[in-house]
Amino acid sequence: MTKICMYFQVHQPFRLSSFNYFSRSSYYFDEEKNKSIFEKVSNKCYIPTTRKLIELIRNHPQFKVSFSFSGLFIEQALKYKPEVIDIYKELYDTGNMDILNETYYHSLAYLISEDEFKEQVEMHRKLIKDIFNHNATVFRNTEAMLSNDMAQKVENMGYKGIVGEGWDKILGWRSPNYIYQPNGSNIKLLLRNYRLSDDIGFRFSTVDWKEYPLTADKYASWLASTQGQTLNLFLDYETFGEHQWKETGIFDFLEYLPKEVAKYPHLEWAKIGELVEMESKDRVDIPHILSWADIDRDLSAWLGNKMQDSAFKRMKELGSFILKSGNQKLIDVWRKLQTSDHFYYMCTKWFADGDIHKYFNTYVNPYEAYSNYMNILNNLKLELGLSPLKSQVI
Amino acid sequence: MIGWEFPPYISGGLGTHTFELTRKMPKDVDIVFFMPDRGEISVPWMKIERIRVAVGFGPYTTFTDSVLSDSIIKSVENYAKEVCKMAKQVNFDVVHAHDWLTVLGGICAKRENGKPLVFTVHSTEYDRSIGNPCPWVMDIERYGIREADGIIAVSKRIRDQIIEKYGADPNKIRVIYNAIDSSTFDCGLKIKPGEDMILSLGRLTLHKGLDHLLRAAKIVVEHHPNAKFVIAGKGDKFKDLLELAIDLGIEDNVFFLGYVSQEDIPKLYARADVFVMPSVFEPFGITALEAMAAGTPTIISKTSGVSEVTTNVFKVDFWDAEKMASRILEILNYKELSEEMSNHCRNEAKRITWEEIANQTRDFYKSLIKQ
Repeated sequence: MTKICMYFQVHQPFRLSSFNYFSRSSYYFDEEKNKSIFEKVSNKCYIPTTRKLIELIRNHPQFKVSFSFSGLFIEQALKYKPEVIDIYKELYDTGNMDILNETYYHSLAYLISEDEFKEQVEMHRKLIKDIFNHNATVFRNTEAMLSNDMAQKVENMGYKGIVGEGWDKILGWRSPNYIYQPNGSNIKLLLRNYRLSDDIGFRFSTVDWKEYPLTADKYASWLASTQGQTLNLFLDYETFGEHQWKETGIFDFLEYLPKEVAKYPHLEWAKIGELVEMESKDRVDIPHILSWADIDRDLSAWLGNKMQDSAFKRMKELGSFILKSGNQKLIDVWRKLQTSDHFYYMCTKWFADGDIHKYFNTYVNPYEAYSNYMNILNNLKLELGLSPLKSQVI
Repeated sequence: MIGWEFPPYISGGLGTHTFELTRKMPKDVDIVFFMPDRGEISVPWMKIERIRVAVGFGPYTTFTDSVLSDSIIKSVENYAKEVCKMAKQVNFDVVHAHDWLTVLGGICAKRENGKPLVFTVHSTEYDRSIGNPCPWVMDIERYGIREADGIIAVSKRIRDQIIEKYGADPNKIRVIYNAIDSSTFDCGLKIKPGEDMILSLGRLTLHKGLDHLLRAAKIVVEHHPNAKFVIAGKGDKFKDLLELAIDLGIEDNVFFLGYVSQEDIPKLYARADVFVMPSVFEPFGITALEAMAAGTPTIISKTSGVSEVTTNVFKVDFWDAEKMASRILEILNYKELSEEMSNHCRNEAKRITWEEIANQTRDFYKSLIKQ
């Protein structure tokens, strides 16, 4: 038997208000833009895709899916479009949906401190428990960040599995389609098959791809001919209807996939939590942090250029002041500033890496993203009674 | 090709443009270049024919009172006549004219020889005069636009404008941008003594928008008393700008350099911490590319042709002094921003080459010859 695990990542950042050098305001987030984007994506992706999944599970009871929602996504859904949460609850009630835990703020908290990281995971755990009454067994760090050390910490927090990228550099000759354990802990690694995942996520509507058009029967035949314990198809949920528009036929693809997979008796859908019960084949060494982004699969989409490093450092420095202040509103703002997207917008790699960065970027260029972030940090410092511009020594 | 000015006899971008364009033109294109006689001149890559006419003004002269002296009209007409006469003795495939000063000769040569005319529009009377055009000049431009077989616009803005204001046939137009020779401006390092220097360079005319920069300067100086604004170039707005600086109370922070020689310009770029091009209208805006090549973080107005081809710069509305001031202060105060912009704008400018522009121009010639 070969399991097939489809896991979808669902996230919306709190986009920042536009601050110039002189702006003084307590309104850090662009409500209007966040609301309109949330409504747009709800209508194009969240609502139709989730409805489709409910329908598919009703027609194919063996079909299963898994989800990870950032806390920021749920916060915005409750604020702007509560019916989105209702539909997800309906999907959860089918019994064929699993949910992962992650950092509430879809943040780089792991790189700030262990305490901060644990706090944000705990917030997320509570949120998922409150909304879905679900206890997650699998963890996914922001942007699928993963390393030996991280896996060990996550195991100590009680998780049985952790998501990562099935990247050739850590696997060597080995296949991503098996269960492994990292060096230093016994948590199960659930590795993404990036070729099969990106066939849907990136290449689906690429007209000059030799496999275009990708149909469900062709894709199911690829799954059937791939060896392994589990084929992990980890996708950005917005693939459906937002990255790949409805007109590309992505919903038809989804519609026919369970039916086509059912033609192969050795294929079986699995929730992500079921995979951690499987036996590990080997140990994998992940000394440096791996991610699912870009061609480099490292942190360089978020950190690495001078602006990203400086913004992150200045934000991190504020931590002890913010936490000491006990001001819940400012603590929340500070944590929302840790969201990975803000650092992604400052990335200067996109000349080489192509359009995916451009697509997500709400700024004209990385310099505007950085300036805005720094202007906001200075405003936050003033609110805290600190001097702007100067580096804060902790 | 019919030119008007040429190094070392230049007052603006038209001379640099024809110099670099002809220099980098692929070798399968032979050029004979006509220009008014301004003195001894020769270059190895083409033959230059000097035409004896009196020229006491440049392509950027604005005729504010809408009155042209007889001598100006006469020299433009005489130039056209003489060019046309000489062109009869040349066996050419395409005649290429630049701006209104030269296009009459181009039209005449086209008619006499039955060959296609290419007309490059670098700027228009409509813009230069900011909505108060000299009808005679505009008529010549309209005539050239109608008669040309192919029109080169140096930006999409110019293209849209000649369609809208001059009734040009969109099918005849191709946008081919300007470029720079980045090696001239890239000193490889930044010179950085104590004070922070904000540079602007260009003729001191209304459409360069320097009054907006001064208003931004006022805000910058309030937050950053060390900021020095250096304005290089001369022009008819000098007195107004100086008075404005005094009225704003920032005369100690603003320096007017007047004319700066070609060899000093790269040093200025290298010294500057920020380059600002606040133009109300800028058909292209080559100085922005030069500053970028020098690795100087650059702020340009959205209403410039160069903003269509650059990404590693800040783009602002020329009238938004507060935003302009904010961008200047961000570059001055956020060291990492300035470093990243510097690296990336230098690389970007390097990729915008005259070779590419000359190739595109050659291809445009070929497409017209085929027709």
